[in-house]
Amino acid sequence: MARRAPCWTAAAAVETLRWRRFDEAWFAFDPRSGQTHFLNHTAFSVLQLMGAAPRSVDALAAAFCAAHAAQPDPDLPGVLEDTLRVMDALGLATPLP
Amino acid sequence: MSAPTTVQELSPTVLRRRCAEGLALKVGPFVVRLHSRATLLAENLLRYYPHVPLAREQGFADAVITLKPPPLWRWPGRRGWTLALEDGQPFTEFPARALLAHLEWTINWCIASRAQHYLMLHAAVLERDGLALVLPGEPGAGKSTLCAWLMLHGWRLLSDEFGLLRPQALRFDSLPRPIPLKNDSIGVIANSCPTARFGPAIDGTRKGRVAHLLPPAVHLQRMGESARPRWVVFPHYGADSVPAAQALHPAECFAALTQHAFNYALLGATGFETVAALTGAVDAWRLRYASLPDAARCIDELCGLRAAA
Repeated sequence: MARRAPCWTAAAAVETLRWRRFDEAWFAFDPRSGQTHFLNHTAFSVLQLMGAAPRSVDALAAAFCAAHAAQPDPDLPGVLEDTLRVMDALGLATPLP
Repeated sequence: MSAPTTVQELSPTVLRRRCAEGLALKVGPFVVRLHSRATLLAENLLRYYPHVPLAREQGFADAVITLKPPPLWRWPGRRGWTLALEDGQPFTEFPARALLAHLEWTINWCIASRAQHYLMLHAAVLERDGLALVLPGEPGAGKSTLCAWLMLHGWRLLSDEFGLLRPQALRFDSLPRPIPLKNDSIGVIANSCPTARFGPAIDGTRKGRVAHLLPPAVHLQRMGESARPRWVVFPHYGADSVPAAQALHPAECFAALTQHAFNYALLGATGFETVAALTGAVDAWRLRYASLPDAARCIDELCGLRAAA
């Protein structure tokens, strides 16, 4: 039986982060950890999509392409998975059980 | 007769008596009460702090610093003076001629550990026409030397070690204190500015030879005037550097400023918002330079005080 791909969420982070934007660069202050994070526009967009609703990596890739009017990219899910692992370590994204 | 307003207006006798009781000085926005029966304190105050304004005798002090003479059982010449704060625990011993340096370092310690209502940048800050130029710098970047040069060439010193930024008002408060110059910088400034006044040179510190350059009297008189941030320049001295200024993207400026704020993490969201507001209020550059006149010329051009060559 195939395992279901985990969903990821960033609802808690998106609710609490403070943002400042300088052109394509985003800085987020997380009052929960006291850390300041630098995100480019892609990472910011990913975080917002996960904040809106929990998604699997494939669903996130599809939503990202739709949001940016981009063609589906077979490499994108792998890139997103790496990004999500980093975000998980920073306390920004969480895989749902 | 009006009451004395600066250290030099007190007669030596009155100054010694006031020191024995606790002499309150205005050190920028802070009040520091100095306390000692030893004549060494009064002598140093008259020599190195003559224009420092007096604060109210009976009032709150941000720090109380006591100068303690060496114990009597020490050999003459090996006696160590000490400075202590309210808890009486002394800092490291020092010879009499190093009092100015140790007093300055003790005041630094008090500010760094107590003034958390400011965003404290490790930066020199200077002012012209009400606008502040911020020079954040890694140790060795030449920040203090460049600050000293600018102070002696038309800019008003707001502060050297600590850029004190009020978070809500987004204004730098003035903290004009002696500038600690190190090693070759002492001679560079002394030789090029014969009117510059220094405290004694102290050898063998963690940073080598240190001598404090005294701020001009008029800068102390304007201690109450804050300034609005307008320019940030990250200086980098290199003996072989061709003078060059590189504009910084606000994102780079923001990231660099967080690295130069002593208490950024401690202030939490206030630190984040304040650095962001500061970034939004300034133009920022990195400046490489080999000579102080070149650096000063370049800064004046960047700040629109002189037409570009």
